[in-house]
Amino acid sequence: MNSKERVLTALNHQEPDRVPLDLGGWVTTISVITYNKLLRLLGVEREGEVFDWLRQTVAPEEDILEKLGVDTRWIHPGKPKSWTFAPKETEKGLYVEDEWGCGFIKTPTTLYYNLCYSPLAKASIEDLENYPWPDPCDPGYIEGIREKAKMLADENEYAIVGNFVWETWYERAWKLRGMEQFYMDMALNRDFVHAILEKVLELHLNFLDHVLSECGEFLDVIIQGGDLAGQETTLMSLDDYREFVKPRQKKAIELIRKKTKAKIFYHCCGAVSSLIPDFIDLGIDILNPVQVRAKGMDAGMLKAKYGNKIVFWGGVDTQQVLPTGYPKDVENEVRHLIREMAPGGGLVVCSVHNIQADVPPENALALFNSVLRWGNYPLRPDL
Amino acid sequence: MDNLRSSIKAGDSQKVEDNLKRLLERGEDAKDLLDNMIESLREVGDAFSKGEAFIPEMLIAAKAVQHGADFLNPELIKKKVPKIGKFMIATVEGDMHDVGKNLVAMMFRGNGFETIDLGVDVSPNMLIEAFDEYTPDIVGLSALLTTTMGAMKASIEALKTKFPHSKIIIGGAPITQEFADEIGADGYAPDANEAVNSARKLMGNKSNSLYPEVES
Repeated sequence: MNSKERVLTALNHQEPDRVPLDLGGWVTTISVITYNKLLRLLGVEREGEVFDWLRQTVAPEEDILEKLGVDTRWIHPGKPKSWTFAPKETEKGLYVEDEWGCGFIKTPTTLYYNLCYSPLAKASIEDLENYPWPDPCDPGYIEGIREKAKMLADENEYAIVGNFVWETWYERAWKLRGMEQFYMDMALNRDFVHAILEKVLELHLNFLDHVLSECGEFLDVIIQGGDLAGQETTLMSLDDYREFVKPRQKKAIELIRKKTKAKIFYHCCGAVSSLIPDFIDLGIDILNPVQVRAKGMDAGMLKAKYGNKIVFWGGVDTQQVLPTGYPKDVENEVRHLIREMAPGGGLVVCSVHNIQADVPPENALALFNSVLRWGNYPLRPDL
Repeated sequence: MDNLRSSIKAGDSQKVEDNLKRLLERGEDAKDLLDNMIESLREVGDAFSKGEAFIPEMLIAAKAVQHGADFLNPELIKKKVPKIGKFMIATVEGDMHDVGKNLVAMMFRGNGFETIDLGVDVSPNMLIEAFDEYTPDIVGLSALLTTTMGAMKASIEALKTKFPHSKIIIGGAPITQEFADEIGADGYAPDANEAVNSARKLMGNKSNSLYPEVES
């Protein structure tokens, strides 16, 4: 069984030869700081390059993916032609505006860029029409993606995952508005929330149509996302989720279904268990990152309740075990995850969110080695 | 008084002000009105802690009470009603996340604390300088990232070395009670509402009676 078959079998809720592994995605990859330490630990003498400027993460090279036993290969959109990454030095640090006009800063003390300017903070519904929106069909986004996806499809070796989340339409709305103002609006200015979400969704749908026309036929998985929960609970009520978010998720999913047979992966951090039935109802196939330390996100409980209807992708704790444990603790965490979630397939393992800069490289390596050691089917009785 | 409460829950700052104006004219005591607003905010906070209210409801109620407290302020000063305490808050060095921190600050303001918000990415040295300047009863430290939990520890060490009697509460997504104990924090709160409760506990006798009358 090769990697592609392994992933597809797990995604179809069947047991492959071993639990599949992911690395290199939108938020399933690794900080450049930890990656460089990992390279040294593996005896590789080179430096990784930052791939995602915002999160300061890398897209690991092929030799490392092979060495770690990673079963996925990611297709990322290219950089838009109409925008250049050009950080400016300011008093506080390096400042960048992205193609949407949102401002981000990296101060000398921070490890990546953080939102610091929201251009629509004071906008009215009327202002939305006049805003200089980015072009979702910028030719830069599709540069090279068809060739790469086709090459991977011809090789038929790895599961092909399309990172076409475009920083998510939902999070884009609050980045443009400012998070606090956006959630105030959700209570007091609901028409504005509908208007801005409708606008960013419209652009997102055009983007999806653009990229999927290029490579939809080759994809095994496509990702969507948008954080809707915090550590303890969802950020909004179930009623608000169903009014503001769910109908728009539905529109994106309908478009995806028309353009590709790929499984739909939805990334949503936090304590999201109360929304899972709605995700299943929408036809979302895969939930990521399965933030197991958030409230109500116990691996065994999630598997028992929803394991036959949705695939779990992620699950290795980044809030405690990876940064503060020893490799043995990481191994135990992986064993626990496999024991609880791997029976019957339906599990792809990676860290909950990117492997952060404070994770010792030995722990990062232990994540992969532990899956190779404990993840074989039939599952070991001594798990 | 019911109108005041419903306008707080609706997050309607103007109506809160109008109601306060009306109630003051009717001869209600400013301190009683403030206590009433705090009680309303606590109800929303408790619902939030129980997962029955969410960020939007919490934000608008806290902002409305803050507006109301600002409106009552001249009257409270006239009556020499002191603040319940002084609270200073910051997101620690290396961390730029501020939504949780802002919500905590709003809750403290709404609950009658004089609140000093130092912003995000605040170094231990900046905390020490600010502590020296403001002498807060309670310091709140926030972090969203595991990578900045170390900065939280360094901040507590720095503050406790220089000001051994300082009282520090911490919170943020990756923070646990165990971590708080380990790094010597005086309190931990999983949400903004609990942060206020934790501060009240730490202040002991000083917070037993809201707005104690000052001898004139």
